[in-house]
Amino acid sequence: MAGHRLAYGGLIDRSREIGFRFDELQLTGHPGDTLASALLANGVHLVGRSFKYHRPRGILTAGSAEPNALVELRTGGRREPNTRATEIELFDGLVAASQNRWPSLRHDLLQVNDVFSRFLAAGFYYKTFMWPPQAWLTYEKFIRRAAGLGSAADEPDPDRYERQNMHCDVLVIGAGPAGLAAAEAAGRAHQRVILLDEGDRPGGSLLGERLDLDGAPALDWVADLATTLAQRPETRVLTRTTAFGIYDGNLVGALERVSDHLATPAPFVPRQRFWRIRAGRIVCATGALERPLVFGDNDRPGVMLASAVRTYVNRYGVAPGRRAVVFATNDDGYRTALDLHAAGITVAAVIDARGEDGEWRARTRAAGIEVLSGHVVIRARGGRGVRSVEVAAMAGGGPVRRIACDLLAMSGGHDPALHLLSHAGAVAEYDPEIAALRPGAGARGDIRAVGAANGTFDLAAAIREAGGEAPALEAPARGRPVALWRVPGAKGKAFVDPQNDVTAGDIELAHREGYISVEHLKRYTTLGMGTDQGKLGNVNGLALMAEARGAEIGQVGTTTYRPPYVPVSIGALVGRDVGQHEAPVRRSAMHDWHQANGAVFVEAGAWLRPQYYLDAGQKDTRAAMDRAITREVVETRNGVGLVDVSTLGKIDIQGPDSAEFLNRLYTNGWKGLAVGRARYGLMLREDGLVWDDGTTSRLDENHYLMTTTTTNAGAVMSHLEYYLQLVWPDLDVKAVSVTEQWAAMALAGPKARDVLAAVVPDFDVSNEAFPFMGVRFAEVAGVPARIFRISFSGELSYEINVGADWGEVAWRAIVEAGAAHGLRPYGTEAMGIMRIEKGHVAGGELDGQTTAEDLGLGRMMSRRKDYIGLAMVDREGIEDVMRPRFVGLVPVDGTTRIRAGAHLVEDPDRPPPIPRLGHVSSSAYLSPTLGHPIALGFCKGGEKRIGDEVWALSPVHGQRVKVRLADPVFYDADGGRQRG
Amino acid sequence: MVEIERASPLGAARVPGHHGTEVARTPGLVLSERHPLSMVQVESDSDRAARVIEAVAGSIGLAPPADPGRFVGDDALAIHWIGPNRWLAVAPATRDLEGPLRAGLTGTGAAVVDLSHGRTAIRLTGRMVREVLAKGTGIDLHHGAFAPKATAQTALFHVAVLIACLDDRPAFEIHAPRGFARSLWESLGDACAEYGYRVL
Repeated sequence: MAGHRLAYGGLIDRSREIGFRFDELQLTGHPGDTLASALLANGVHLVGRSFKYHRPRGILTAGSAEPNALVELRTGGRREPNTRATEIELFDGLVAASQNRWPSLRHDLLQVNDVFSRFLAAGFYYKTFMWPPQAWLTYEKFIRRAAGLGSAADEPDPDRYERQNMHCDVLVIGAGPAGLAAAEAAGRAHQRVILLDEGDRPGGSLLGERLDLDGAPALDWVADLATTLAQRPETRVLTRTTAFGIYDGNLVGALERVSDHLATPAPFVPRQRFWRIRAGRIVCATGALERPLVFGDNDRPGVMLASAVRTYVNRYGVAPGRRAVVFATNDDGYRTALDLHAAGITVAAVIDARGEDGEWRARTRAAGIEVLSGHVVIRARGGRGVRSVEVAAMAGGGPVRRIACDLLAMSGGHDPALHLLSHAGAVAEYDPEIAALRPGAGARGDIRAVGAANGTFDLAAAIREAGGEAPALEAPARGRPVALWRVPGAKGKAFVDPQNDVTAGDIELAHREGYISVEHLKRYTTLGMGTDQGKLGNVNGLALMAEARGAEIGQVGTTTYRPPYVPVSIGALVGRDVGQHEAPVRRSAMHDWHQANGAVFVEAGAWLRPQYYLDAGQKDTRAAMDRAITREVVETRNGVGLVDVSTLGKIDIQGPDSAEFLNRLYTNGWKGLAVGRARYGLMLREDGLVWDDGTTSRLDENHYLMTTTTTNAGAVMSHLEYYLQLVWPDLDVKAVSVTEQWAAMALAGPKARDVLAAVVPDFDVSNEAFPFMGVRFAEVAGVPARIFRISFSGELSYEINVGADWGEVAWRAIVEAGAAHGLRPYGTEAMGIMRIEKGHVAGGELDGQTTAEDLGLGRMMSRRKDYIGLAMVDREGIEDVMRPRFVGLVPVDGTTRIRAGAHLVEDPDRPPPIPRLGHVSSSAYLSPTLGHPIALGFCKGGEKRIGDEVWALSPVHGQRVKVRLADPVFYDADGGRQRG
Repeated sequence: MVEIERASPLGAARVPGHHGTEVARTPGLVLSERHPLSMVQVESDSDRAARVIEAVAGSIGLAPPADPGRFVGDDALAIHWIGPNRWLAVAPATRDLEGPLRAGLTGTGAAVVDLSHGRTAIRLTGRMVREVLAKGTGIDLHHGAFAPKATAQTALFHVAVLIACLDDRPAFEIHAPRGFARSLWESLGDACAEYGYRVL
């Protein structure tokens, strides 16, 4: 044997050698190796340090349950902590580093924790670091560094992660013998089948066994089935894919490691893919996890699960040791000993905790291997690796025999991997026949377990259970296992959960301190936490708790298994919803023009709207912004401005009952609105509070166009649909959202009429022909348009709607025609300032807590009809005359800005609680028209207090401003400008 | 009147040519935009639906489908079922649908609404189409569950869209709201990248 690589065998490509690095070691392995098998082939057993005591740790498993062999994989932005060396497929140039050690793996100074471990038992944080209270903040930093796992990358991850949906009739999780059989059976029945496996190829446990089926190697049987499945068009096999959670409605989350086996993913190809699978039926063929045995110093490197030992020998052609001892409570110990023997590795002894004889034992003895029945290993000896084990009689008494070895293979039985079923609600039931917990009833959805996952450990029986035809198998029947939760007479630290350094002693301590529930035990001792979630330790732990309480395992129960079964990177869950794809963006038809003309955009829901426009090449500074906004207001008020209002919700309403429908939706009346006229409307919610406002225009006899605020566009549409379909199906009305159909722009200012006349030839724009609140159809720049003479700014204003594909054409034509009149495009800031100057309510006022009376819109509540919300407006709280009412606010000093959100109070100096008069709802830091800051808000007393001085307090900003209450309409109170 | 050209919402985001993974064989997908289109929604009440179906057939030569989740017709004229007694007629912009429908449906109580400018149609063809769409939508697009002539309204990359299966190449058409069209186009391109795709 050269090194630790066996001379032949295994599923590795011996013709190629690939280099990798582990800490400072430059090593080689073969394609087909995992990082763990390659390390073992190089004689490296010590791979990590434990969480709390910094004890040397080796490789315990050959799969995803690995608690010890956790490494930081890759470097830089791709560095990933806590990856399991047992699952990492070796690639050329792989770089891995051990974790939780300082300064190096071999010489970890924090090993002193092991020496002082009696001070670090379960719950030590809670007891030790709690006094003085503020000192925890100091301790915590050191504790976090001393006890922990790997560290996350601190650079952006350069790789892609994708998220994808998949549907099937039958989802089979696990491509071991039972899973392959189940998938084949389902496919034969013409079902759409998905078969997942966490490994890089199907086969499951058979990949690690030396076994013949139907007189040929078991892997031939696997290959035949895999070929059959590959030929079925409706069967999809995904390898390197772990189902990590089952959710309601037979939804399964799975993670495919698309490129993790490569140094870097190919361009555009994701590193990982998160699959959301909706399955008609779920078959869990997840196999079983071998249970470790709890004896003294059972965490020494070189102590390994028996199944892992067989896998390293049979699958990877690696000798995990040169002289082995096998310790088991079931017949797999003998299988392991025989496999080691066949590979030329000395087996010093098989220690079987059971007393009775069986055929496996006879075969082992016949191979010349010593078997010690009714014996147990009470302690492993050795520091950074096992050098010998101490063996004693199970019954106690008698001499302790020391057997030299560098490998201890252990098997404490097998626990069905029932985690996914548990996610779906299945309870775990203890079955003494298999000395393990098996999935019981209670799973929501069409889910079942087959094979080892169901506690059916016999291979032929498992395949039959999955619906397959059992192959002929030359092997003795399995004898009955015994349960051995802890080895009697064990000396030293006996670990139950190696990842969290929880010992049998910690569980006893927790019990002595009064812990009864396994959930509390978990939190107190950290049993079952961490990256492996106690896959190996949980059953022993809860059995020990049961023992301490004198109860049955079934009575103690298990902690709840929750998704994910294995760690899943957040990046995979998020997928491509990052950066510019974080959420979809909504753009108006004039977006490109805005962008080309200096617009600075602001997000308004999904919409991007121009906030203000800078000059070409101008930097976006605070001063530049203020200048831009001021100029937009001043030039609109004195000349003409143009603003993109495409974001307003637009709803087409048709049918003979439309006016009646509007009457019921809005507080004000609609029956008298003439064709070609628009009207402002106010909507309440069912609870009588104000919800939304906007204008609705009568386009034709039975045809209206409703507009809503940008914010409520979707909600108002749903509201209309709801009432039409469910509440008033008798109304003959049809409503359709046309927000996307129309590009909308408001031309505002004293010169708006001149500009309109220039773009709408042969159209009488005079006040007489086209008065305020009039609606006309015309052609703007050659395209059909709807023109509404409505005003948000308070100026003479026309809102022009054109088909959105023509939005930019019309906009450009207006800008061009307006050039002669000094037309200035303006953004949401200038629009907001102008509406505040004008005292129009908007989002700050329509906050879902105000009534029509609060807003000074009480006169819009018709007394001659019923409408949504009316039934609730005469409630005491809504009618209360002392509710804060809509007011304008001006700083008394004429210069200090008033913050939106500030509280209005009479006397800021009185001791708290200070009675509140109301609050500031909207603020213009500077009204260019008035020359000083203004704001809108709500104040008790409202219009009766105009002229009074109160204080605006903003504790968040540490600011107080003396403000004078004013009429909320600061500008053109009689509306002459918009009507002119 | 000179017909003024209608601008696509995709603008400069649509870059013809090959994108994503370079592949030796044909790219996994081909993306294109169908624009400009005539799109008109027709809605009836249940009582008069049969009459409306007849009247639509009389005015534009194709009867709307009675079955949910289906469309009839082809690129020259298609009518999608988009809700109970609600249909969407789609044709190239060169064909006026609104005029004949408005005239033909007078007196039937049906509402006719022009939505031509409100949406654009993105077409995807090629062997990886279903994989790409499955990245953005949760509905089952398997050919057994969503065969040619199937149409559905659902979310695609968080955008409310109409998805229709045109044929078994397979070819799919997505009707995207105009405002979100560019964002959706970018997400589709991103999802196609790993398979390689060509934009027409």
